[in-house]
Amino acid sequence: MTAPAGRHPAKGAARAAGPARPALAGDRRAALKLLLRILVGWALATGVLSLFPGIDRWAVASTVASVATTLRVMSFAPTVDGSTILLAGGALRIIPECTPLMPILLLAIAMASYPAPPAWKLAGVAAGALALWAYNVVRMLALMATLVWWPRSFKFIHVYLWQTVTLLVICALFMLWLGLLDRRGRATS
Amino acid sequence: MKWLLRFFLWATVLAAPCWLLADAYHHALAAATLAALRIPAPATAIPPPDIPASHVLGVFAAMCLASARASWPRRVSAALLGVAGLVLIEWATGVVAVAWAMHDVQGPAGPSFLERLTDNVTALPAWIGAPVLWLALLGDAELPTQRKRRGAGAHPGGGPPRAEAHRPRAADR
Repeated sequence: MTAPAGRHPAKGAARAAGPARPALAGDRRAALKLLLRILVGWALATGVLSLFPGIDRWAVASTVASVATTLRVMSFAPTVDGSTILLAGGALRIIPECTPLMPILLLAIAMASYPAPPAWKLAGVAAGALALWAYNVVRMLALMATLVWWPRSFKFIHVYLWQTVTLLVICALFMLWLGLLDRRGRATS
Repeated sequence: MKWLLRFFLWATVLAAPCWLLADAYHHALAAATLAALRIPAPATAIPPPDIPASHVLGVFAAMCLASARASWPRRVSAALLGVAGLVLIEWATGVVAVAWAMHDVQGPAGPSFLERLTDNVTALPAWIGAPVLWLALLGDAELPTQRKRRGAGAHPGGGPPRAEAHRPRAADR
């Protein structure tokens, strides 16, 4: 449950602990610093992606290969035609937006921007990238199933899985990483 | 974890109205974009994107409303302010993308660095618009680990532990 507006914990803390106003200002400063780092990270990432278009092509080819391999492991017989995967009358064309590249960048830039030991950031980015790659394969399989069995729901499911669930997974991974970082901080203090 | 569940529920609830509003919202954005560029063309001249722009608004509103620590008035004002900001960002992105497309003459070697940069920049709001605005408007209230770690003795920001680190977390119970 959420605290009602009038009894917000911050207000209680302000009365009980004294100088809450500077602390809140500090939180805001920390959040804005993080935001600034994230924006700088995105500016750099956008520049790199634009400078090396091969990254997008590699991501598309690797996503097609991952999804097709997973389907074959599941005893299906997909046909791959360029960046299109054909299965049971359904055709799924993979474009750069369908790859886990942007979600991985979103998570990696957030982790890199957050104050944490460099090794911890690297570990988080590596594990997060693997998890997001796996999630994207599952997402593609779900879209493929929707395309074959419920083609009329495809557009809605596509939008819903793309934005909502992907952002949810990114947030969950980031929060998991923050939780582990917190536990590590407590263990070492 | 409660925030995630709340975000998922709010996003699911808001997905339906955003879906229903998608065409009207795209039509309005397209008309405003064409008006800004003084292009005498119907709004249908701009094809809708794969992911409706209205859905980004729904996801952002869900992130704000799901807040575990900010008060309801702050959540609602952040959602309203952020949605207005996102509408402006989406409109500005449309103006830049259409203006660029009108000057864009692609060479035989494929899109240049500048063309790819413009494509990537105009694709950004769909990816980072909601999380970045959420961080700007509610990030100070929603970064619990920073406070907890300060309280535990680790200071990610390099500053001393603050009294607020011991703030009771009634909102999480």
